[in-house]
Amino acid sequence: MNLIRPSSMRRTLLLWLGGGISVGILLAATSIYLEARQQANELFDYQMRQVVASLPVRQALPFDLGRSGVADSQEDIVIQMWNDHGLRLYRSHEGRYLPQHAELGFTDVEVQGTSWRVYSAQLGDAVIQVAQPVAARRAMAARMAWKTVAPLFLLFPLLSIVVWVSISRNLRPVATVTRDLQARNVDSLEPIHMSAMPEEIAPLTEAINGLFERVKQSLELQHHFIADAAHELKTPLTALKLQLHLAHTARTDEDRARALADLKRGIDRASHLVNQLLTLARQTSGASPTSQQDVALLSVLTASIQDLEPLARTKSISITLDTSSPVHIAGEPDSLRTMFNNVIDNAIRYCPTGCTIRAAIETSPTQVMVRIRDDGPGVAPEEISRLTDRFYRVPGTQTEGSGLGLAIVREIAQRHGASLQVCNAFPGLEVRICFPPSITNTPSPTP
Amino acid sequence: MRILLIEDDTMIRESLCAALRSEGMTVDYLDRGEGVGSALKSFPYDLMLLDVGLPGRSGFDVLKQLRADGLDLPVLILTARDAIEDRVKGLDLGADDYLVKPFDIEELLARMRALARRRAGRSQNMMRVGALWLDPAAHAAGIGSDTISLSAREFTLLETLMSHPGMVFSRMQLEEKLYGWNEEIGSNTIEVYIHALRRKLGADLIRTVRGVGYSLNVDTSAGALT
Repeated sequence: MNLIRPSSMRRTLLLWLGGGISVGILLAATSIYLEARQQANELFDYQMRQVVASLPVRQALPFDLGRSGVADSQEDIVIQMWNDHGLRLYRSHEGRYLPQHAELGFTDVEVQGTSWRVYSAQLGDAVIQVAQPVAARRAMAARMAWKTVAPLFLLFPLLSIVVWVSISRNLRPVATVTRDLQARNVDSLEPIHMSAMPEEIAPLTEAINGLFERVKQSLELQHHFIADAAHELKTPLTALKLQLHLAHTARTDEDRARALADLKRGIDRASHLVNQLLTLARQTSGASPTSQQDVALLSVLTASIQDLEPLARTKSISITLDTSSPVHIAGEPDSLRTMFNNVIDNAIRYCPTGCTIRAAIETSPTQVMVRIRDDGPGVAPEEISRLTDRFYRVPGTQTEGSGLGLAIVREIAQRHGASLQVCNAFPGLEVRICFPPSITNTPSPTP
Repeated sequence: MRILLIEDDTMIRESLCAALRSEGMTVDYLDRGEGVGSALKSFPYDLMLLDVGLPGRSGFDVLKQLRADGLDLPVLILTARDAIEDRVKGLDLGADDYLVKPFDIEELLARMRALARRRAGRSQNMMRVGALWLDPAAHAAGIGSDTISLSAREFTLLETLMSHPGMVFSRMQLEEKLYGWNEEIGSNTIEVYIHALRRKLGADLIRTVRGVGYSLNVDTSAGALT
């Protein structure tokens, strides 16, 4: 079981978009925050100046700052006044000391562990200091900046919703196609409906439709094959039923023996047909995966001839192999052997006793040709083109056969990219199988 | 019954011939559609078994042609094709029955008997003339409650005579019912079988009409049939 969650386009998109938007919002918020804080600080500085400016000039001391109404509003502001002799004339808060400073304008001062922002100005002949704790300023500035920035964070959920909905809507065609495909079974291979499909999904859908078409054709070929096979099997089965009936109802031992011999012939015929059907089914492309290897053609042909020797001997037919050049091609050894078996079997079947079958391998730069020729009766010219048709048998043939031998040969040749030619050789019939040139068609070096 | 069989597969043809002959039928065969017309016109067949899937001229063409020629013998089609359209086509072209391969031989025989008895205007297999009876299905014949043992050819001869009681069959007509075109017929074989039948079933059973032939005696004044 796959324990890793499969990647999700929607989640990835959401992550990227959400992340991007979040980063953007955060950057904006940060810069706005910093700017707002800076502005707040400047505002406070301005305020301090205004406090000083609002104080009555050249007034006799001490005066009641409380009456001027300034000190109340700024709880954190501390005001002190010094005369030019350094005498503290006024202090707004008891217990809070500001160092005497000659520096006018804004300064940052540290007193007893607390940082202060101090504004000093000359007022008549006294110096007035207005100070604010930096911590307080910062806190207030932060509050103001925060209030400015806070609405931005509403964008988070808002934009997330927009992104999510947008992604969902745009991925809807994918969901539609998915549902369509899920609802189908093996027989429903019609093309997927393609109207109004976005250009990113269209190529995928087209490719699937193309595959459906190919699969449909392949399935139709197989259906035809099965229908043909079922039809062809009826004849041998009919004969078997009749032959069994005769064996069953035979009245004499002699009759029974003859009936059983006929029954055996019938079963042999049926078995042969079934085997040929299975071979053809396996060889038809798409039925099973190909596994090409480097094949020594001579050894496969030799093995095939050995397979058919016993059968040839029963009809006193001799098979000769006129070649010794070891040639290698790319192919499947078992299929090639089946192919040669069928060609030679055909020759044996349709040649009278005493014939000769000659097999040869001829190599040239452009091809490797296997030639199998007999000196039998050959085939009428108008029938030759039909010999490789499935189940085709020359009308009037008395020899038993399935009609599939050369169809099998053709399928296997096709799988190997080889061409098949059948022609009269006067005398006899010649079958030529021409393989494309392989990497090595020269004798391989002995190890 | 004399049967014409048209079937191209050798094994089926040979075993079907053997099976039908062991039922006492006379069988001639062809392995293709050519020559059917002339065979039908030359010999008196009771029924034709026709395979549809023939090389060259198809069974349907053969059927169409022989019906067009006015040949009206019963035809039973044998075929591997079992699609409804094929059955309908065969029957509409003039076949009397249709059997799909692989078939059971017993079913084939039963259908053949059905076609033959309808042809003879009978509704039952059993043929009766007075006390004389013959059952083609059971391949038995007898008088009253006695079953008489007959050889295959004797049976066929009796069946032929009983198919049209009283009608005179010439010797040649009887020979054509008993022997296929490949078989040698002895010059007086029919007399031998007639003699055997008379011996087994009664001398008055069969009437000789000099110079013409033989017939089954239906005259009730003859003692053999009461």
